[in-house]
Order: sequence, then structure tokens, then C-alpha cells
Amino acid sequence: MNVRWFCSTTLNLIKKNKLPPRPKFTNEMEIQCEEKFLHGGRGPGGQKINKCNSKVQLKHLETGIVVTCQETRSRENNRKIAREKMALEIARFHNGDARLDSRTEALQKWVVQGKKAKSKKSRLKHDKHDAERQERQEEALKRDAEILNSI
Amino acid sequence: MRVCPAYIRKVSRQDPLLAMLVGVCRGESQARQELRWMRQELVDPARVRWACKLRSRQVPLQHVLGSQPFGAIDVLCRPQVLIPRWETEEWVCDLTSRLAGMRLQIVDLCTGTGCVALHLQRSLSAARVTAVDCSASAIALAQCNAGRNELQLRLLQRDVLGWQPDEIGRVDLVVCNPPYIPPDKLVRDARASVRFYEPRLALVGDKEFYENLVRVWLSRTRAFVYEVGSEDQCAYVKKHAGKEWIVGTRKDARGEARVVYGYRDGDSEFARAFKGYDNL
Repeated sequence: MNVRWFCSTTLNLIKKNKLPPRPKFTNEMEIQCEEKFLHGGRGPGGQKINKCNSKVQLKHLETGIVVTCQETRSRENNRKIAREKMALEIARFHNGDARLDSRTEALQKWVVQGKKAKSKKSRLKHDKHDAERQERQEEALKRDAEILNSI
Repeated sequence: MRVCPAYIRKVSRQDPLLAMLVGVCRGESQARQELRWMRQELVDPARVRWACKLRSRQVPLQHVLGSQPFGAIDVLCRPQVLIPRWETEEWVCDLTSRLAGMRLQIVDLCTGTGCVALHLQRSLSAARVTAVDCSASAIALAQCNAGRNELQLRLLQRDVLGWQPDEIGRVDLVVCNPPYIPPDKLVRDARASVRFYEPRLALVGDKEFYENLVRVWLSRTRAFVYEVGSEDQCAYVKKHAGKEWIVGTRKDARGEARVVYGYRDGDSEFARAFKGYDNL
């Protein structure tokens, strides 16, 4: 018999569409950060080479966090992505021992929760099948016993 | 720096496409980067393979993918026109943030793909930009890029060196990315990809355009910004500009002289705009 307690319904389940928001990169952070564009070391430059590189480096002066980005060919996009990354890193930094921002934490919990639900479901299913099987076996035994008795 | 064949073989065991790029990119990290961009933009594996093949023959990545992002805009690239460089992007982006809100008549000489003119027009809505180039294919491509980015440009096909620009009227600012590689330096310094696939017309030049700046444009404009390849081109402009001009140079992110700019002494508007432009 599967018993469902009242208290189990009050568990704080995490919903995928209601996660804590992504950390935002604020204007204040912009002031605290130092932006650099990295374009390799020595060698010719200008019109002499046509290498495609647009690596952006952001450094948060207060905490010393450094983030780089060269995900896309566009410098502007790389700057945006670097700022998102930096906001995430700063949130992690301020989240104490966990070293995770609340959104990532919630996402991880969400994954664990999903796995738990899945295993519970399969366990319940197996339990049900096991019970049925046992019932069938008992019946068969009973029948055998009856046959033996009748002889 | 050449990549040793044993290394290419080693990479080839991981990913044959990467091995095609290692030589031309001179290193694995850049090769991985380019391969990732190709996969992102071309998607289809057959096209990616074809692109790697072209790239291994030194075809510039910008020609393979067809475009290059430049500041807020995306410009098409074709073999007859110079590919926009990150150095240009850097000084243009900084310049536009300084000129914000000014009502200017801007002339962009040697416009090529039209990247500088289009970026200025996009960011400075009050400005009126005229783009000039001597090559018909450059003008056609600039037109194409203007349409692609939904911008209006005045385009003129003129040979800048032999042109008396009386037809365009008042000019506040002249920007230019002239060909600045001296002929003897081209073979020695320029990458094979540049020598094989980019037009000489847009690459080779010494001081012609700076001489033209001094002779023709200084008397007609309030300020100028020219890209340079070396210190002595800066020095030339500084020497010949005359007393009423304040001339400065600006370095790029790698610390090389990249821009020579100037404005008339006493022009407070431009003096304010160019304040601190020379130190990055």
C-alpha cells in the first residue's frame, strides 16, 4: 500500500520556469572592472595580417576575478558574453561556501529532484509488479497444495 | 613560425579537419577557434569540410564565411576589397563614442567595404557620411553593405589622389584607412593569406595619402583621423601639418602606432572630443 503523507505535498519543489534570475551585470560592476582586448604577442599587425581575433578580458579589480571570452567573431558580442560570465562569477563569489550562484544551485537541485522522482516512480512500479508476482506464486502454491491434499 | 609535420599528424588523429587548419592558423588554439566558428556558421558538415579545404589554401576566413563583424554592423567581404581589421574597429569604436551628438559632415576616404563609414553613420545619427573609393568593386560592395545594414550612404567613385574635392562642400572630419604597407615590406612582413587574396591596391602605399592629406584636405576640414602603419607616417603628418594644427598619434592594443589625428588649434568642440584619444 502506497501511503502519501500530508507533509510530502509541502516540499519545496523547484520549477524549471521559476528559477532565480540570472545574475545581472550592473553599472557599478562596470566601474569596478577593467576591460582589455587581447590580440596575441609579437609579429606584424595592421593591414599585414588578416587574422580574426577578438578576445575580450574582464578583470574585477576588487576580487581579482578574471574572465575571458572569444566565443564569437564579433567583438561586441564577446563583450556582452564576458559581462554575463563576470556577473555569474561575482554572484558565485558572494554566495559564500557553496561557490555557486543561486540559479545554478537551483538548476542542480532541479536535476537531482528529477532523478529522485524518476527513481521513485520506477521503484513504485517495481514494487507493484513484485507484489503481483508474489500473489501469483502464492496462488500457484495454494493450488499445488490443494491438488496434493486431494490425492 | 612553421608548424612541424609530426604535430599536424598528431592533431590529424584527433580531428582531420583541425589538421587542415593548424598550418594556416599557426597553432592549435587558433585552429580550434576557427573550426568552431565555421561549424557555428556553416552548420552543414560538407560545407565545413569544403571551408577547411579553402582555408588550408590560405583563403582568409572572412572570405570563406563571407562576412566580418565590425562594431555594431556586419560587413560582407569579397576578394577584391580589403577585409576590415580589428585595429580599425578599435579606433573607430572609440572615435564614435567621442563624437556622439555632434552634427558633422564626415568624409571617409578609401572606404573599401564601407565599414568605417557605415559604423559612423549607424552610431552618429546626426552626422552625414560620404564614402569615397577609387575601386568600382569597393563601391558596389559598400552599397551592398549599406543595404544590408539598412543605412543611407553617399558613395562616390573617385581617385582620391587626383581629386579636387570641391563638389562635396563643407567637411568637418576626414577619416581614412589608406593603403600603408611600403612596397618593400609587403613581401617580408605580410602574411601569405594577405598577399594572395587581398588587393594590392588597398595594401601597398607609402606616404601618398598623407601627402594628399596635407596638400588637399587640411585646408578644407576641421579635423582628420588617418590610420597608419608606422611611426614615420605619423611623423610625416606632424611635420607637415603646420602651426595651426594640433596633431596626435594613437597606439593600438598591441602598442603599435596606429592612428594619426589632428584638429585646428582653438576648435574647442574637437579638442574636447579628442581629449585622451591618444592614450588607450
